[in-house]
Amino acid sequence: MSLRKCPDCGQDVSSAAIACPHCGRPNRRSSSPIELSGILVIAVVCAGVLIWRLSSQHPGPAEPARALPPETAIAQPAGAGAGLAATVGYNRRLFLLRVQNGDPYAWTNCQLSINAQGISAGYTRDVETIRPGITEAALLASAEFVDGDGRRFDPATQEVATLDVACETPGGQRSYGGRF
Amino acid sequence: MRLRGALLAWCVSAPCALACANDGPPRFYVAAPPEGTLTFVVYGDTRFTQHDGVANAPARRALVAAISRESPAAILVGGDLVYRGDDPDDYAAYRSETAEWSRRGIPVFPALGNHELRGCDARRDESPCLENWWRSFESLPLRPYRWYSVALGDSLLALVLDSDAPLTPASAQRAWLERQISDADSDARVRFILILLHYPPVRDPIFARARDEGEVQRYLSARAPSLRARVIVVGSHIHNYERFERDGVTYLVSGGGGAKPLPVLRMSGELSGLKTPVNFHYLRFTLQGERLTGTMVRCAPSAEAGDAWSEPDRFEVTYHH
Repeated sequence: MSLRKCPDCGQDVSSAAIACPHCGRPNRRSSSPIELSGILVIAVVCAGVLIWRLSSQHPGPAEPARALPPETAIAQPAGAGAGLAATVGYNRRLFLLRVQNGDPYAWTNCQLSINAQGISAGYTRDVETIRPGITEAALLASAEFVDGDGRRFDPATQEVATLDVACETPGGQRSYGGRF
Repeated sequence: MRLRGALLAWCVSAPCALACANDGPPRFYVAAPPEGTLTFVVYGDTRFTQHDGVANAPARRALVAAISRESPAAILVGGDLVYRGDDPDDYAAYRSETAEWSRRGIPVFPALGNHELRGCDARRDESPCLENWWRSFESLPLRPYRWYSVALGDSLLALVLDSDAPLTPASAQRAWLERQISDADSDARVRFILILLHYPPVRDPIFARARDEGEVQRYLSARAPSLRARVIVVGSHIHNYERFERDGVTYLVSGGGGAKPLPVLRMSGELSGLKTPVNFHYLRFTLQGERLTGTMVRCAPSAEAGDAWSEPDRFEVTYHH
């Protein structure tokens, strides 16, 4: 494990850390193919042991699952590739999107799209700059997004299922796809 | 009894460690005023500093002035009092900007935050930063401890934690915390336990956990239902305000003391439902009999129109026999 400087707060962060322990900034790690295959082998073995244990046990009283409140929606990255390091959430009660730039550089000329699918761009909104760091996260009302005909997204009747972000970066145009 | 009364009266203007005779972190006492309503203030992330771009100094100063006018019995700061813990000038800025608190004799009880340790190597030597912190609160005194307790009147015990130090079940701080809670719960006079720590155990889930703060929630979820006293947890670190309820415990995020604002989504059952993205604020607590009332006092600083003050969130925690 090595130490590096957190681009957000400047403190030392272990390369193995999931997030900066000082400011909470997500830590992006690049894994070698050897590391990845090792993780995959361990995961398969663990899954096998878990399935065997569960199938060999009598079902006991189940712990009540704690459901997340209905307004809680954190996007899961969909698709692969070297994209933007975004952390995206949506509050379905306040109809607010929060987009956090986890890269060490600013994103510029961004286009954000709600529910884009196939050739449909869905509902879009332009954002000039999203700077890196948790204090710089963009907070956007979903009702500010409009479709190609100029119709506004109606959060009272429509669900935000996906959010796509496409921005200019020092490394060229990059994107992020998130599914709620 | 008369001696204790005299000491408590003295503690209003100069807090003292009556329980220092025992080994271990000290306990400070703040006497309740004779009329029966005790008012105290809790907030965090003030970031007193001369560094540019990391805090809103006008908002911070407006909050300090408003808190002075409240004349609270005590002020509890949930960490990140300063921007750089290794810089004595930041502590000088704190002393200078809060001179009115000192003049009025309002005791300040600070928790350690990550910025108190900023500039010091956590793995090698944090002592220069800790020394600055201890020296700034020499009157309490805190040295050599990083966590401690404050009794506010007879009925509220505040446990001030260091969330950068371990809070896992086997840790020294956790053992101390559990002992304090058990002892307080067996004292019939204690109705409320307020836990103050920098990293909030419950917060907008978009923010990753920082250290062991989740262990505090796990412990309280199991322990609080069997406690006689009601538990309130106040964290900071997120530069905004949030309020949650979990397993009978009220969890607050109060990090709007002046640090650069941080937009939150108010997810996971957040109860205030505030729609303002920037929320510089402090929390005013009033303790009256079996009722503890919390009020979020919000400041919208404006050079042109003057500071606008509002109280957009209020909650009550009631003690049940």
